[in-house]
Amino acid sequence: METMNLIKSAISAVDPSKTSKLANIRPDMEIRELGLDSVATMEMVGYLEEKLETQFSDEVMIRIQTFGDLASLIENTRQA
Amino acid sequence: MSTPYRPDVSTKPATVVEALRRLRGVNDLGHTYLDNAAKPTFFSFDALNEAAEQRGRRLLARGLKKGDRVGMVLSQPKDFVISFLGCLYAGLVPVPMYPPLSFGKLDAWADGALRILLDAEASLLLTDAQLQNVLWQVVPKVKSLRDLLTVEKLDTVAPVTGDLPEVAPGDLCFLQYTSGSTSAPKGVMVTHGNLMANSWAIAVDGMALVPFAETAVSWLPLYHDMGLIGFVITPLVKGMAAVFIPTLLFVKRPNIWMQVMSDYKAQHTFGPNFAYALAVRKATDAELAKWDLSHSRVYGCGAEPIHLDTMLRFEATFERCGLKKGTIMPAYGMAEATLAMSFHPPGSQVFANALHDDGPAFVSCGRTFSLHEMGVMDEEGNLLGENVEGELVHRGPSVTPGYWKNPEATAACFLPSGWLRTGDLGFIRDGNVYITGRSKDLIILNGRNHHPTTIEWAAAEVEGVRKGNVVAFSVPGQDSEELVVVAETRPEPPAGTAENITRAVAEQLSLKVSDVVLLGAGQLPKTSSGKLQRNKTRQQYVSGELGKQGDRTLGSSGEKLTVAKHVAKSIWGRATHTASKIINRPTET
Repeated sequence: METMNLIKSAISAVDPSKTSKLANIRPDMEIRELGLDSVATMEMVGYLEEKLETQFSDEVMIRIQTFGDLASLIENTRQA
Repeated sequence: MSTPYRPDVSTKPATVVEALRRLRGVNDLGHTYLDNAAKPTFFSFDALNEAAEQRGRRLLARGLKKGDRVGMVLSQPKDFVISFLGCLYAGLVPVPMYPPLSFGKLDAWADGALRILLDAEASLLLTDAQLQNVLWQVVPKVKSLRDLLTVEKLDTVAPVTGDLPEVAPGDLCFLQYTSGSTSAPKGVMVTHGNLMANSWAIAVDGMALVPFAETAVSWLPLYHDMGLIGFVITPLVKGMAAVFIPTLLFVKRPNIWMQVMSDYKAQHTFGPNFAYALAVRKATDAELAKWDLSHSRVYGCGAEPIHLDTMLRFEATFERCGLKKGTIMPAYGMAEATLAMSFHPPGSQVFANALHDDGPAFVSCGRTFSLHEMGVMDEEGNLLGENVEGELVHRGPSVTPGYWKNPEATAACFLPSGWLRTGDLGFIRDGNVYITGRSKDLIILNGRNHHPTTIEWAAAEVEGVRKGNVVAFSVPGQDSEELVVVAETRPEPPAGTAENITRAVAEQLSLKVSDVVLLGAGQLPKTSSGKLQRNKTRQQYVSGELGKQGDRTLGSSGEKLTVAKHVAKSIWGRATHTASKIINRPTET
C-alpha cells in the first residue's frame, strides 16, 4: 500500500490535474490509461528515483506497462 | 606551466575527421559526459581522438569496410559520441537510432528500430549491455545484419593496424532518419562536405564562436540532428568544449540543465520551446538564488513552434541568475539541410511580427548564412518576394543530396534548381525568416513529430465518432503547443465521447489532448472532392468560427468553455499583445 501511495504522490507532483483520478488506480491498470504525456511520465519516474535514491535501467523501464509492474519494480528496488 | 597547445582553427576543415584530427594534442579541453547519476567523465580532445580511432579500428576488425552502415542504439552520451566518431574515423556510416524513451512501448519501439535497420541495410548493430536483450529480437529479421555488438564487447576486440580508409568531402558521413511516427522511415544522406559547410556557417556566421574559449551544454538526443550536429560536430571546428547530459536524465530531472550551465560556466545551449517552459516551471527559489548564468551567451531555440511569451518568461525568470538580455536565439533548421538554415543574431532581443496587421505574431528566426539562401515559393514553384506567405525554400552547400535509396521522396523535396522544399509555411521580412505553419500538417509536441493521421485514427475508433471525419492539429497553449482533436459524431453520441477520445489518444500514443470539439455530420471543412482540410479547421478553431452548434468540452477536465473564452485565454491573444509592444522596436545588435 505504501508503494501505491508513493506512486500516487509522484503523479500528483508532476501533474496536479490528475489528482482526482488517483482513486481509480489499480495494479492492473496500464500507466498510459492515466493520460500523462511522455514528459510528465518521465518526470514521475524522476520523482520516484529521487525518493528511492536509485536509477531504473532503460531496459527495465521499457518493460513496464501497469501500475502493478511499477509497484513491483519499486518494491524490488527497496529490498535490494 | 607551459601554455596549452592550440592548433590553428581559422580555416574550414574538409571533413569531420579532419576537424577532429586537428584537435589532437589539446589536452585541457574536450568533452565531459555525465552518466545517469550525473557523474562526469572527461575526455580531452586528444583522448577523444584516441578513443574514437581505437573504436573505429575495432569495428574494422569485425570485417566491416568503408561505406558500411552501422546502426547505433546507445543511450549514454559517452558511448554514443565515441562510437559515432569511431565510425567516421573508419569510413563507416553511422545510423543513429533512438533508444526506448518511456514505459511499455517495447513492441512499437522495436518495430521502429527494425524499419530503420531494413531501410539502411545496416551491417552491424551497436548497442550497450542494457539494451542488447531487447534488440536481439530484431536481428534475425534484418538479412544485411552480420552482428549485434555491445560497446563493452567491442572494447575487447583487437584493433586493426595500418592505414585507415581515406575520407573525402563528398563521402556520405551518416544517415539521419527523420522522426515521423507513421510514414516509412526516410534516411537523409548527410555528407562530410554538408556537415563542414553547415558547422562553419553556425560557428562563424551564426554564433561567432571564440576558439578554445567557450563551453556548450546539451541534453538533446544525440540520434537527432540538433544534438548531434549542434553539439558533437559543430564545436569541433572551433575547439569548443562540450558537456553532455543524458536525455532521460534531463527529462526526469529538468533542473539539471541550468545546474550544469551554472556549474560549467557554459556559454551555449539549445532546446525546443517546451524545454524552456519546463525550465521556468521547475526552477525553485533556492536554485534561482544559487545558479550563476552570467557567463552564458546563446540559448538556441528550435525544432518546434517558438512562443514569444515562453522566451520572454525564460529571460525574466533567470535574470536573477545573471542571465543577460538577448541570449535567447530562435533558430530554424531541418535534417534535409544538414541542420541550421537561419539563426536570430545572438545578443539581440528576440522579437515577433505579424504578417497582416490584425493577424497572429510569429517569432523571427533570423537570417540565413553566407553562401546560403532562403526563399518563399508558391504552389507552382514560383519564387515570391518578401512579406508574402508561401512555402519556405532553402539553397546552399548545406543542402544534402537527398534520401537514402528513395528517389521519389528525394525528387519531391529536392528541386533540380537546388532549392530544398522545407514543407513549412512562412514569410520573409527584412531578410528574417518567420514560420507560420507546417504545410505537411506535422504536429510537434514536446519536440517530437507526430503525423495527424495517427492521432485521428486513434480518435476515430471511439464509439459514436464518424470514421474518417476527425481532424487533429496543434495550437499554441499556455507555454507550449497543445493538441486539439475535432470530430464529427453520429446523431446522439454516447455520453463521455469527448473524454473517450482523450483517453484513446492517451492510451495509444501517450499524448495529452488539451481540447476536444465534437461536431455534427458535415460541419468539418472539406474540399470539393471531400478531402478534410486540416489547416482550415485549425484556422476556424482559432478564430472561434468552428462548430458553433457543437458540444464542446475542455478535454480531460470536462470544463465547459466557449470557443471565444478559450481563445482569449490562449497564447494567441497574449503573444499578439506582447508582440505589439515589440513590433517596430529596432533590433538591438
